[in-house]
Amino acid sequence: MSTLHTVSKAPSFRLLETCLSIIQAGDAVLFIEDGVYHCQQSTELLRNSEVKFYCLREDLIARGLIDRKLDTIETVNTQGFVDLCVQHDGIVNWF
Amino acid sequence: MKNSIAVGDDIINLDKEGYLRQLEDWSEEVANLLAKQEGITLQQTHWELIHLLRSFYQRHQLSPANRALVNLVKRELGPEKGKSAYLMGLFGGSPAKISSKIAGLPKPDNCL
Amino acid sequence: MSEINSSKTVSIISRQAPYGSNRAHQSLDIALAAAVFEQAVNYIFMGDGVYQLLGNQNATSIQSKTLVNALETLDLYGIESIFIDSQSLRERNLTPKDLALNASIVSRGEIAKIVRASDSVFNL
Repeated sequence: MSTLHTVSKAPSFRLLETCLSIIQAGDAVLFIEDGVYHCQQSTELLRNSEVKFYCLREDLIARGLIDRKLDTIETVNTQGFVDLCVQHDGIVNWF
Repeated sequence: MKNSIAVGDDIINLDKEGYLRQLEDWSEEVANLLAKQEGITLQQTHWELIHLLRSFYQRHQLSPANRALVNLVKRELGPEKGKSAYLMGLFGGSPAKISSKIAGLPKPDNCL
Repeated sequence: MSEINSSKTVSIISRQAPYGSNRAHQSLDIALAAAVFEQAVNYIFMGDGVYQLLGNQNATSIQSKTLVNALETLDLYGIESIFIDSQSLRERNLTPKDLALNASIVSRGEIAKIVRASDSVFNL
C-alpha cells in the first residue's frame, strides 16, 4: 500500500514536517498551490531518500518558480497529477 | 444606455453601465460606437490615450482610476497632457471611467 | 526612494502568498482605496507576503491575474513607501534581485517604527 501526500500550503505552515513524520517508504509527496514554494529552497526535509517529491507545473509557473525549482523535485502537469493519484492506493491532503 | 451595439452583422453585448461584457469584442470600430454613445467623436488626441490605456491594461491587468490615469499620462505623454483638465476636456467629467469604457476595458475600481 | 510618512498614515502589512488566498489581493485593494482618498500609505511585505514580489510570475496558468503586475502600478497611485522585511527574504533564500518591484529592504526594528507612526494598520 502506498500513499500520495499533497501539500498545498507554504513552508511557513510547517505541514511538511508533520507529513514526513508519518510517511512510509514508497510514499510520494506532491506539492500543489502554495505548497510549490517548498521547491525553491533546499532543506533537510527534502533530503529524505525514501520519499519521491513532485510538484505541479501550473502552480510553479503562476508563482514565478519555474526557473527557481530544485533539480531533485520532479515536475508534473495536471495529467501527471492524475497519474500519480491512480498509481497510489490512497491520497492524504495536507492543507 | 443601450445594452448592446451592432457592428456590421455582429451584436456586441454591454453591461448596464455600457462597458463591454467581453473584452475581446473590442475593435477601433467598436470604440467609435462606444464614444458616440458618450457624445464623443474620437480624434487623434483621444486615440493616443486609448492605445496607452490598452497597453497599460495588457501589462498590468488593471484600469487606472483618476489619479493613476493622470500620473500615467504624465509619465508617458508628458506634463502638458498629464492633467485632469486636459483629460476632462477629452472625455468629460469622469475621464477614467469614460476612457476605460471606450478603450474596451473594465470599469476602474476605486474610482470616486 | 521610499520614506516614512509621519503625517496621517495608513500602513498595510501584507503577509500572505499571492494566490493561495485572496488576502494578498485584499491588501492591494485597501492600499489603492486609501490612496484614492489621499491618505499616505505604507505598504509592507512580510512573511510569505514577499512571495508576491517574485519576478517571472504568470498566473494565467491557474486562471488568475498576476498580482505583481498590478503591484507595479502602486507608484501611479502615489504609493511610494514600499517596504520589504529583510528577515523574511533571508528566511526564504531570496535576494532583491529575485524581486520584480523596487522597494526599501528594512529590518524588523524599522517596521516597528513604521507601525508605531501609523494612524491605522491593516494586517493581513
